[in-house]
Amino acid sequence: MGLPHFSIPVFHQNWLKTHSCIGLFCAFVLLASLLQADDIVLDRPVAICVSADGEFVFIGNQRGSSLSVVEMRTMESTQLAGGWNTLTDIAISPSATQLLVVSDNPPQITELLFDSGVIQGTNTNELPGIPAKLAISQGGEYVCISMTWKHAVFLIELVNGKLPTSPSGQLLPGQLIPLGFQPKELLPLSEGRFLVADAFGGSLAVIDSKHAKVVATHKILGHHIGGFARDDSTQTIAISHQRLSANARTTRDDIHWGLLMQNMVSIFPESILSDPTKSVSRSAETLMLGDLGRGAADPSGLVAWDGCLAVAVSGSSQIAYKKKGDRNFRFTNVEQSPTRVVRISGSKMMWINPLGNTATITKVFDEAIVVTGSLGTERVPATAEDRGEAAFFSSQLSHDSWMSCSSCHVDGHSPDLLADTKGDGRYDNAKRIPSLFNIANTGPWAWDGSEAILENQVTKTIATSMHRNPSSRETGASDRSIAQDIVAYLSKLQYPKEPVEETAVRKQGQALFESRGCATCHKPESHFTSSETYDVGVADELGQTKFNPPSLEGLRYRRAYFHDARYKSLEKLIPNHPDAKTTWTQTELTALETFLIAL
Amino acid sequence: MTRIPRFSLASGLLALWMLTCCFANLTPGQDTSLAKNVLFAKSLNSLIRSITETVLASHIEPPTRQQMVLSVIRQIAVATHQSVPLDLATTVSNTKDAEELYLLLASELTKLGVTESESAVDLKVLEAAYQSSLFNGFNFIAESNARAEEQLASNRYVGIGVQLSQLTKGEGQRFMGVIAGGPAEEAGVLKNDILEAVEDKPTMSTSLEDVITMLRGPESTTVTVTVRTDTQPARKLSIVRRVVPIKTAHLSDKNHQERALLIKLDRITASSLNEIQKLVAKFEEGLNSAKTIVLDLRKTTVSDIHYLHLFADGFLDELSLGQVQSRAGVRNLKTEDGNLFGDRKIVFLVTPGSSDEIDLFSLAAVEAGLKVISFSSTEFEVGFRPSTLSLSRNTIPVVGAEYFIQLATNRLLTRTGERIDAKALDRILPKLNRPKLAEDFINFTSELNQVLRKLED
Repeated sequence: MGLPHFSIPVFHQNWLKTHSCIGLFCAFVLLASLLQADDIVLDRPVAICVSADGEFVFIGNQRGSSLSVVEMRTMESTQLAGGWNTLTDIAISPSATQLLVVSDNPPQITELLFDSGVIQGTNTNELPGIPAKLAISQGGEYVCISMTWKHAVFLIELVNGKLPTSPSGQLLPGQLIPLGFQPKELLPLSEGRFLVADAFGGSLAVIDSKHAKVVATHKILGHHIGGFARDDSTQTIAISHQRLSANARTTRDDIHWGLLMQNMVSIFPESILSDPTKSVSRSAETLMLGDLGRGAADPSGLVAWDGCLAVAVSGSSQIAYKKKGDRNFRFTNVEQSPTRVVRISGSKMMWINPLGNTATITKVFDEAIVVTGSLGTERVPATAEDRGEAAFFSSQLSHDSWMSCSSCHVDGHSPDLLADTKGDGRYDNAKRIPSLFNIANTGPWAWDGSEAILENQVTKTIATSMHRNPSSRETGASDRSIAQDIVAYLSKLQYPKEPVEETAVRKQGQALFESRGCATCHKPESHFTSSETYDVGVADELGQTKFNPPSLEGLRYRRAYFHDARYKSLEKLIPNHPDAKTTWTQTELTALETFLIAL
Repeated sequence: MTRIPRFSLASGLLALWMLTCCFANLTPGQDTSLAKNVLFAKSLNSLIRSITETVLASHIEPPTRQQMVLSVIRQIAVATHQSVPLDLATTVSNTKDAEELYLLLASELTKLGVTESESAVDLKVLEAAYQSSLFNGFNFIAESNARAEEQLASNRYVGIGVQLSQLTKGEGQRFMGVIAGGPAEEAGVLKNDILEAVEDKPTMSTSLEDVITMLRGPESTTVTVTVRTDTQPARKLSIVRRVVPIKTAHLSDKNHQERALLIKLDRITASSLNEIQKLVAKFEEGLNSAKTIVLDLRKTTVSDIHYLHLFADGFLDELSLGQVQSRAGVRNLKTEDGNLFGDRKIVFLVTPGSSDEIDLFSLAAVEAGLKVISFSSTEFEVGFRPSTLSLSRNTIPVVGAEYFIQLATNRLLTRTGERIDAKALDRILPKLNRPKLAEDFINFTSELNQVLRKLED
């Protein structure tokens, strides 16, 4: 690739021993301490990147608020404690002169600059929203940060390979580019462009960094995009994702034959992205990961090279691999829930397992992935909340591992798709999947409000929607005890708090909300819902008209409304709400919408 | 004019019977077995009540309670060679409520002498009674048979995986086929073996249907059979019943020479899309590329509208397949965005009139821009069509009884909401007519032509 040889002696143990004591790091303001570790400690590793020469791997620890640096040649590791609160992603520049770390609480970006492998300086700046993922353009000129809860990406133009200067702690200069969806995964494309994926649904956008705008949007046939990979040899892009059918039922049989949930990789030529006459959904070749007896839930990070493909199957704790020309994958069991991967050299790869606090090193041997090493010590979740989280992301709860809770309630939120779950006792009656954020406060549950205890609702879902295999029940915990843990986890899920400006328009909207009767069913004191069911004059497929009002909290994060997702915007919903028996002026509509989206 | 065997309840059962003949654990002639089930008088009244109320609660267009009870009384009278009072119809229609009606029924059954003696009423008699009062038919179906039907629709058939045929009376049964990889084959049963005993009970003089009932059982249970070849001594084998997937999609053996992949479908079930995807993937391993997939639906049956809907979802992009009318209302069978086969060319071969479900599907496929090539057949000729053709065959348990009733609880409609009757289909079929076929043939690649010609041969 013509990149300069990369080496970071600063991270080399011996180097550290020699140099750290002589105070080369006095300019190192932010980093609290530099630790060397004989045994690497991974604590919720959520991000991984590798230097272009494959010599150093960096792992970002979310709970540990640290970076783990592994020198691949010696397998020696160093821990870099940075005090990042809720680290979300890391990235290294192609020239390896810059390592970026984004974190939340407060939203910020930290830049570590190297010269000849020695950290020369750091600086930290505030970001205009909670960062999800981070990517540096192929030529190293731009940085793109996805901000899921802001429906936008934040684009930064680098100056001489560095973040633009602004007083430390100040908002970084950059462009906030709004998107019609909530973005997460990022992939640098040629000519400084970035491909951005929907965090929950199946939307894609191409960002032109030079002009700071969206130049193309696409859709894949599916949702829950787990990762991107570019195969340089074929100039194709591979996307791992799922596809949920609203027409299938959550019966054992529909799950068994892969009719309800499909786990797949879509592959398409990169050139399609800028061709307005082509669509990704029509042109993509799909490869099925799931098969009978082995569903392969929640495909996540992946790598593609020379026609080969390796995919982290996070729900079922496996890695899927196929060689060039193959359409079928071979599976290797790994530690808990692998999510992201980097290719180090040849077929050598490293995967991170956030829930297991480990990283796995693999190689391709005899047409299959073989585990050749492991970093970190796998920890068994100790608290109910942690056990619940592990269960939430595990496909062990479903028939033949076709799905986890997160397959529909993606990362606890929702793609607002329809699922026919027999939630109110009958099939052929698909309903919108609810977000689980704030769910513990918004009972009763189920669309008809028939379940007063959340634990019962979760237990029922495991048994009748996911159809947990009887053999798992015999050997593992009971559905109910798992449901108790999941409820402990769900109780912590909250919508992110973005600051809301108190304006006159918003106050007018609030007044309208109260005067026009909205508050009768969506009671502000009860998280904008209530425990009753109401006939709002809207029938479902089977003629049922009474529904428990959904909570209006987090309304701005939803992309479809009503039980059947019939309205795609509040603007369309409000005048058509069957219980809003008044006509609305445009001003009133705007005011109410302003109020609602701030809830 | 040849009459088309339409897919109604009766012919649906016939199809099931034919299919079950192929698989031992699905009882052919189950109705005959059921008919042998004699209903003793003391339960007759409550049974009639249970069936009547089930019909009222479930049937898409139920007759009145009085009509059904009247029909039952009349049928029992005929079966027991007695006459009914001339004013029975008036008496029945004058009853004020259900309780009064069932009191009258009890009294009439007493008068007919079927409640106090050991005299009995055959299930066939009841079946005929409801058949005559119910629009679109009525069938008793054994619970085990209902389960087998459900298993077939979802391709989760539980059994030992054999095909049996009856030898001359007194000579037992022969295994005409043993499914490869199935439990029977694994236990050592060979094709053409003769069955001598099941659980040590000799089967030489047992009817085929009774043998099949003996072989059938829940998943993971064991059945012991004694078998022999024509010349060798008997062997006793233990077989564990389990799910035996039945292949419903078959690859033409000529495919390796062709670029077009030809797949023949026996039935559309839950497994169909999975089977087709696997055949395509297998074909495309290496350098092959299935640019065209030809699906032969000419003799395909549809096990359940739900699975036809999901099958259509795999091919048709955001279209309405048709509608289903049930007691709850009319539901549109829409397909979702996209198809599973990317930019491959999809071609369907159909014989109009062979199945209403396939006809509807064909029409939607034409609208989706897919190629549908219709074939005439000497067996099928467009002509006679009953007024309502297609029903979802729902089985509903009769309270407290060991069997189900099979009822018209759903009706498949055209996309515009019309019933599928002669008029509606006349509008559909011209779209699949033969003049287009010539054009289709000309437009197709020579490879496909070859495939189609071979198929014709």
